[in-house]
Amino acid sequence: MANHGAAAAADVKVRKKKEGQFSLVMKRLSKNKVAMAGLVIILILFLAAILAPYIIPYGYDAMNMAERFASPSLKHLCGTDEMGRDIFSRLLYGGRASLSLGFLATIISTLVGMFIGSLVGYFGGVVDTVVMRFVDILQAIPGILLAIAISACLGSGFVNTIIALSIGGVPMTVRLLRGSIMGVRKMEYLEAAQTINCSVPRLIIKHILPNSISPIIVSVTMGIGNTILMAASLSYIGLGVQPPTPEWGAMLSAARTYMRDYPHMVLFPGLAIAIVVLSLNMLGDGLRDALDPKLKQ
Amino acid sequence: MWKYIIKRLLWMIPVLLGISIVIFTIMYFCPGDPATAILGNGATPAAIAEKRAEMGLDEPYLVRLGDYLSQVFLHFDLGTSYFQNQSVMSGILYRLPYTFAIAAISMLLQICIGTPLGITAAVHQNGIADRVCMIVALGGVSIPGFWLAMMLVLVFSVQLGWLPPYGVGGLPYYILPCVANAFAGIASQARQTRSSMLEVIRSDYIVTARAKGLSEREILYKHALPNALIPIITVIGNGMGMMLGGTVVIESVFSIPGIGMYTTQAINNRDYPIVMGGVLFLGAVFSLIMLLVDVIYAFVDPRIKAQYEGQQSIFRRRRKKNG
Amino acid sequence: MKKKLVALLMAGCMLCSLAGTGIAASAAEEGRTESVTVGVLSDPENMGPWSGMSQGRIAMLFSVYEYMVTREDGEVYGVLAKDWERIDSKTYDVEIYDYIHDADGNPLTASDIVFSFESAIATKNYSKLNVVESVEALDDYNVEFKFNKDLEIGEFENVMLECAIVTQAAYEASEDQMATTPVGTTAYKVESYVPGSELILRDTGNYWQTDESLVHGTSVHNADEIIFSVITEASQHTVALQTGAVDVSNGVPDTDIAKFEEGGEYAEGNQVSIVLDNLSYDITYNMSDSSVFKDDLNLRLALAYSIDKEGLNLGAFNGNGAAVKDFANATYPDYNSEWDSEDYYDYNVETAQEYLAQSNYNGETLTLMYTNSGAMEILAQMLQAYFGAIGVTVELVGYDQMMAQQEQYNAEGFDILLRTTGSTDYIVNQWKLCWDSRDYQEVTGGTSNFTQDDKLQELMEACLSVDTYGEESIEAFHDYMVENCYGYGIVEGPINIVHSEKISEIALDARNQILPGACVYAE
Repeated sequence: MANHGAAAAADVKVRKKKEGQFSLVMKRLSKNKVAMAGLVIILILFLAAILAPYIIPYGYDAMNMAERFASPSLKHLCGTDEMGRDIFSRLLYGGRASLSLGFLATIISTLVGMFIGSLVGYFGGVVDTVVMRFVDILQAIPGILLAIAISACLGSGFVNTIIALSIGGVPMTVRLLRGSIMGVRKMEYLEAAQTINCSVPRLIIKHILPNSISPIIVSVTMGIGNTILMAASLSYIGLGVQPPTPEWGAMLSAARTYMRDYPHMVLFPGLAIAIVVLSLNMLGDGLRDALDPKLKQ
Repeated sequence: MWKYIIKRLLWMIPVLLGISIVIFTIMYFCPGDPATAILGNGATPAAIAEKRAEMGLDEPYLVRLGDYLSQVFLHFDLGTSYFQNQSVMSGILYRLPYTFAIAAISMLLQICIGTPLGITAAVHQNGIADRVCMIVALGGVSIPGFWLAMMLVLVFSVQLGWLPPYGVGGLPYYILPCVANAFAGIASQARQTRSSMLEVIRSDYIVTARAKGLSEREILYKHALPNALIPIITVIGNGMGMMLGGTVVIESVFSIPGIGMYTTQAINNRDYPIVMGGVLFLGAVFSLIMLLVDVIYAFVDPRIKAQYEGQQSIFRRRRKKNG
Repeated sequence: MKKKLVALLMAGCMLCSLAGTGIAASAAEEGRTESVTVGVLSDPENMGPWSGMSQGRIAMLFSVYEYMVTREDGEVYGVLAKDWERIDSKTYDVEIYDYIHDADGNPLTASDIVFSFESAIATKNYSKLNVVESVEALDDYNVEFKFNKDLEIGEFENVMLECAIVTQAAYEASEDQMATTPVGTTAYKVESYVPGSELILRDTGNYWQTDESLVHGTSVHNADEIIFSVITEASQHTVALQTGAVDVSNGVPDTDIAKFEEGGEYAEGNQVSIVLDNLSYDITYNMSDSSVFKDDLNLRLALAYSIDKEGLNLGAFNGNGAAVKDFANATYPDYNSEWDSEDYYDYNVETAQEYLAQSNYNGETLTLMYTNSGAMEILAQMLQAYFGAIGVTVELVGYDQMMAQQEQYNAEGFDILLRTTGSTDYIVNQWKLCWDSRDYQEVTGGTSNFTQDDKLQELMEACLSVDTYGEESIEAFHDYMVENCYGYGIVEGPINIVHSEKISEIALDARNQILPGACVYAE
């Protein structure tokens, strides 16, 4: 996934104005029905998660032992779980944890990765060699094992899970950004900027980053989906977000022993994850096409 | 070329050293220790303290780190498991075949199914075939692995009774785990192939080929495909590296004694030698696979081979680091 | 619901009657099987006689090793030990049988007993062996144990039950300290072992104890071949039983049990036996000086009365467990069955709210610490809801087992602890796991939950001392605990054993693990 974006970025041509590029991308994106559908679904889910406390019909942790394992009905749209909690309410509320987990972990790892990547990409030389060895080290440790080890050490919980999930993503962003910066570094406009004594940080922020950003945007959109799936895997192993906070992966994993008799318990959380990841990927694909200058018509 | 390979191999030493330090540090600051695990639930604090002392766990950080590093890098010994009383190396080598078999078969499935899907999608860009292939691919990356695995068991083992639901044995035992494991891989392989194909199809030399009046078939399979497949080698290499360490969930669902389970259980037991040895081993394998990928690259892509001997270009540097 | 299994007695009776009537050898094959497959949740990892305890190891231990004694239904019987005698409060002499040999045929004598105990003590893996001062062979078949303190109730038997016995010859012949090639004195020997997947034991046909009246449950060998099949995912145990891949398993999830019971989907050819676990789930309050519970009996009682124990049983164990009426479960021989009918913080929201009103609680958030595995996770969430229902806000903090075990001695780390305790002999030894300050004061200044109460300690010691142990001291401790509410038991979980009809009677050891060799087979 990474190198494709990088290849695309290397070819990003300098636009007259940033605003011009942005509106162009948005225009192209809005023509892509699939991507727009993805975007709309994500926005709806976000809205639902934000408004969850006001719109959920039952408390997310309200137990009702008399109504355990109820099938979907008008009273409980998605049925109830082993403690008689309303799954629909938990799903809506769970969107808060799952979405923020996916977005925060990915964005944090991307920001850290971008910071390191831009320093490395710009300075090159010794800094590059030293930092890239660290990146090599992190990348050579299997991501899921690293996440498991870190979660085991920090204990479960929202913040700890974010930390565990984001560390593994840093090396990829660093490589991605470093690659694209290397690509644009030698271009003439930078030499021009240097000759007029533009300061280094200004150079990176103003000139290098905007031109390397497109592969990052694509990888972030796709990365969020992966992070949500990884969080589900962590829940399966018994780590992850602290109950009773509903989180889709945790709900799915807790429901797995009931899946034969009460398939609704795994169906809905699984569907929720699949829809989010699917929408993000649809949006990501669309963004990649929109950001790819070769596709301009 | 050889000079490059040797240089890369030498670079692995500091990387492996770094991996050891990172994982050692994580485990060192991990609350709970193997003494507690060994003594079990009812142990008194005094008994735990005594056991800790006996195991040398009360030594300071630097002393233990130094001991570990010298043991691994000077004596080439990954140590002995606290629980299993067995050398970590033999534990790993024992489990490697299972993990490797799953990774290899999954990878084969991924290549054999994902690549044609991607090519079909690219050739029929924006057509119905494209849509269908991409929906399948998107579905594949959107499903949590353990969910799919358990669904497969329900259908193929419980309902139909065709395949064994768990355990290790002959080829039939590997079918469900590998399919479950490969599903997401098939999807990303298809997408990768599609975009890589599209990029090549749009490139100048294909346009030239078309202008020369070559048949569409010839253009696709003789000119476009070989070039489109080059970046896919990276995906395969990366995927192989990931799968060797990343099949924990699949191994757990199907009760396969692989390296993922070995290491994860050791994290729970705080069996430090296994955790550190396992991660170090996987790190080394990953680095070697990345090196292999680069070497294969050089063979299939003459442009890159030329660069190994020729001047350094940005492209080459990026390839090299990108693995 | 509470089926007490009498398989061991049955097996014993059957053997006796067979011996008595002198039926020919072919009939003695009754109740036996050629092969039995047991589904287990985790790998033994290390089968060496004295390695650290793990869940997977417990399942196979008794099939390979014998101990000095065994415990059945609260009674202690000699296995290797023929007889033992208390010389004084610190000295015991044990006589072993003079014709013992291990599965490889090596004779076992007093020096092997000394070797086994000394090796086990040297590993420091067994805290129960810390009381042993020395083990000496008096002659070939007599051993003298000296202890470094006056032994308390059940302590000698626990020492005898803690150390697996092997011959020095076999141990030294093993290349890996018996980690994969254990040789004990039972009838079984490892035939093959695929780590993480499968362990096959085979009857050597050369078991040393030829007098069948002396063969107790842990040593019975009704199966020629025992296969332990490692199945790490619980729901796969259901699949395995249903497809007939395993004959017996205790790993089936609670919710799948109904399928195997009468009228269930897979009831045909399968049977279910549910026994209650000897572990009980308990609550202890943080009683350290800085804790809100320290001087607030009303708050402790308020929370205790807010818990619907039957609800916990239903939610966490699908109703197959049981509410408990003491800081222990009801399976011990010294459990007073009168407690069953007494009020033990019986669920009553009004009472709870009354106590809460009298307490000093001001709406602060309390933390409930638990181990994040299986039933604990559900119990913790339900407790949070129950506490919330009377207006006490509780935040959950779940740790993995290692971390929780360390954090429970951190006075600042939590307010309420959800834990499990259990013993295999007497109720007082389950109490000891939490309430005997002598074991914890170095770290906590009091009991394991920081309680500093001299009266409690006095009552505890009275229960444990051989001289004062008895109904009276047990009753006194129970009453004092109920009154002061430093902690209490809430619920005990079930062990769900599902087996095919091939097995007519299931046999369990003192830890409620399946003894495949001692089961009675219908073939």
